Amino acid sequence: MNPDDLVVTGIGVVSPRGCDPAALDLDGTAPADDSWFDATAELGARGYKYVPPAGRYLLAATRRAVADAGDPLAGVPEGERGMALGTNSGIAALIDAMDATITDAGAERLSPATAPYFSINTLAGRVAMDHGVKGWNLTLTSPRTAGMETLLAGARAVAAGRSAVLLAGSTEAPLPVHHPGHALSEAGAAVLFLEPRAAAAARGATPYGTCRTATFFLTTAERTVHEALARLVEDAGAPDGTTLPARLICDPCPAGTALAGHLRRLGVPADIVPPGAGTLLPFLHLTRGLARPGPPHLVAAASSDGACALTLVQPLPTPRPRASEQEPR
Amino acid sequence: MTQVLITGAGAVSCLGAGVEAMWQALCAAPGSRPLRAADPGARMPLPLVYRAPVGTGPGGRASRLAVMAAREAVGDAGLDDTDHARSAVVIGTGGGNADHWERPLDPGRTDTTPFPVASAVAAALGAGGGATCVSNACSAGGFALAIAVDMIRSGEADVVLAGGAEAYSRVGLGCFNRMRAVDPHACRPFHRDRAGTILGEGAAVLVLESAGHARRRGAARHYATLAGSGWSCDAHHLTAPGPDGAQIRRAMTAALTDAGAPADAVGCVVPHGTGTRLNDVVESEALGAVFGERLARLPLYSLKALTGHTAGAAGALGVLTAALILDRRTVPPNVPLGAEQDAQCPVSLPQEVPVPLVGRHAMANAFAFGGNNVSLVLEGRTP
Repeated sequence: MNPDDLVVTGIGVVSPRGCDPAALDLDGTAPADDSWFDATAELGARGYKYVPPAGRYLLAATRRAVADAGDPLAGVPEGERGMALGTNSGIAALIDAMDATITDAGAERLSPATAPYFSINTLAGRVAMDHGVKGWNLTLTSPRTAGMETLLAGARAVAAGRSAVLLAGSTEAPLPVHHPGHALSEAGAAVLFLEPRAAAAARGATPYGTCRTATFFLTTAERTVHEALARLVEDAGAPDGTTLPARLICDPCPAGTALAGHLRRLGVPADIVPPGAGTLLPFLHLTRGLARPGPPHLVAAASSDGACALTLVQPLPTPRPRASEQEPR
Repeated sequence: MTQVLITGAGAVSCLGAGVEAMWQALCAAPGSRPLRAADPGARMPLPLVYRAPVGTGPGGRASRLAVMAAREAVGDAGLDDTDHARSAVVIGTGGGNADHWERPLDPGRTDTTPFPVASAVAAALGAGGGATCVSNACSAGGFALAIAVDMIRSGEADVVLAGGAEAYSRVGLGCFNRMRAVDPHACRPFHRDRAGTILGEGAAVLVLESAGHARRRGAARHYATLAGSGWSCDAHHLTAPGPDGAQIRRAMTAALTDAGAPADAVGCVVPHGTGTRLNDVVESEALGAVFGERLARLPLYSLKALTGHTAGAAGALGVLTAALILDRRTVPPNVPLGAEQDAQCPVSLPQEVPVPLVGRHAMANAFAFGGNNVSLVLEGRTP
């Protein structure tokens, strides 16, 4: 299966930057606390008391994405459902609180209900339990790029026949207040529902568009950005890569500076955006890009250690009909 | 379909640094006991761990373990700088560099995540093809290898350095204590008195390479072909396996199908086998469903009885063990259980002496919290 045969038919976002994917306010910082999130409204009053904030955000965003796609999971066997999550700081505050408890009162004072969440993959595991995701479930944690990587890893897994549909997303929660990076904390989650173009057409779903990711690692030598860009645009049938606008999420680290330079030399005008602490901001940018009709564009991210990801976002050229206006399924 | 070869390997665990040290320890099958964690902050009833020798240097403990194993692997494979520059890296780790995130905290540390482990390998070796960190808990290393195979098959990469690394985590160990999942004596998979697992440190990194690339560069040898993988998710419980084992059975059968291997071609299984009560029973039953009556004489090699449960590294160390078994056509002796093997786990665990391998394939399993399951099937060289 060609990766571009996988289309996005559902988007779910819960974020202090907004919950309407097309209207996300991605400029500046957002509140690094939990006050913006109404867990009861999103998830109901019971059943999620012990789920950490990043898990609740992810559950809420997944519900929104599935609903936005027209609740297609009923038609997909559980073994054909796959999920890929990107997160960096999803349990950082929980780990810090647990460590404080262990070193002070001792491990016997840990809550047995929250103890399983010391393992970061339980965030996606909890979603799998709610939505019967039995095909496969990946948690990726590469610094900053993991959210974008879910689209690459997920599309690869679907192409390999490991599932028929894909939930791909990112979730983050604030870093501990004493962490030097706390001010850069992110909170919220975004999830995309992806399915083969033919399957979407068969059930009358109108896609938002497609997104395709490539990754590379910027070493000190002249590296593979050109190859990655070519991989994205050549097979995608997109216009020449040198005409694509790009939004680059990075700090002024050597890798970010190098990636910006590579893109500039390739004729790609990159709008540089300061990063947050984790994987969410790049994913929100590509989510907003999908939700707004327009020309293809790139979202790029670089972490300070050298990991880079590029996502080619190809939204619909014209506005997508609202779910209520789409063909009955 | 592109054939994916294992052309290099590196390992570090409580058995020592290096693949040969590991193999010699497997063959010696010494009784292995955990140590008390050298951590005054580990206020818990059973602060036990199997420690690995970790080199000094920059980066957190998991990163250093991963880099140690990766350096050995690329040297073993004979990769040159050109190969490095185009290689991708996929490393699994459950907790990452926990030492950087647990007390005493360094106020000057600005990392915003404990998971730069794959990046550390890519930076150390000059690998330019992407660095992906997989955190599927105790199946992370297995998933990393399976992802790497798919990358090569899809044409994304010719060479991938893939594996897993796990280091001591006070919080991880504390939570296992709180969940009553730590055995007070040792890691004793399939033992009738097992009372949980004991975590261990370690790393294994394999050089995975398309057969065409290996041939073009004149690779000297390969251990085995990583022929297929099967993935599934229980979607049942955060920590406990689905009691019917349906999803781990599906992972195993999918791996066999992906590898194009019938079940009766498998000559050895390196099970997940952690020593927790339910996991070992469910895995034994699932193995019985896949291998039928042959399970009673199909050799299993219970690696964690020697290394402890190395979590995010466990799947990679398991695959490496399976590759060595195929390479040397020998199943090492298991740590003796004798009459103390659990009757609810009717698997074959050859003890005392090595057993010649019969069959061209081997399987390695890795299961995890979150219900994440992966099985991998390896194929030995043609005689």
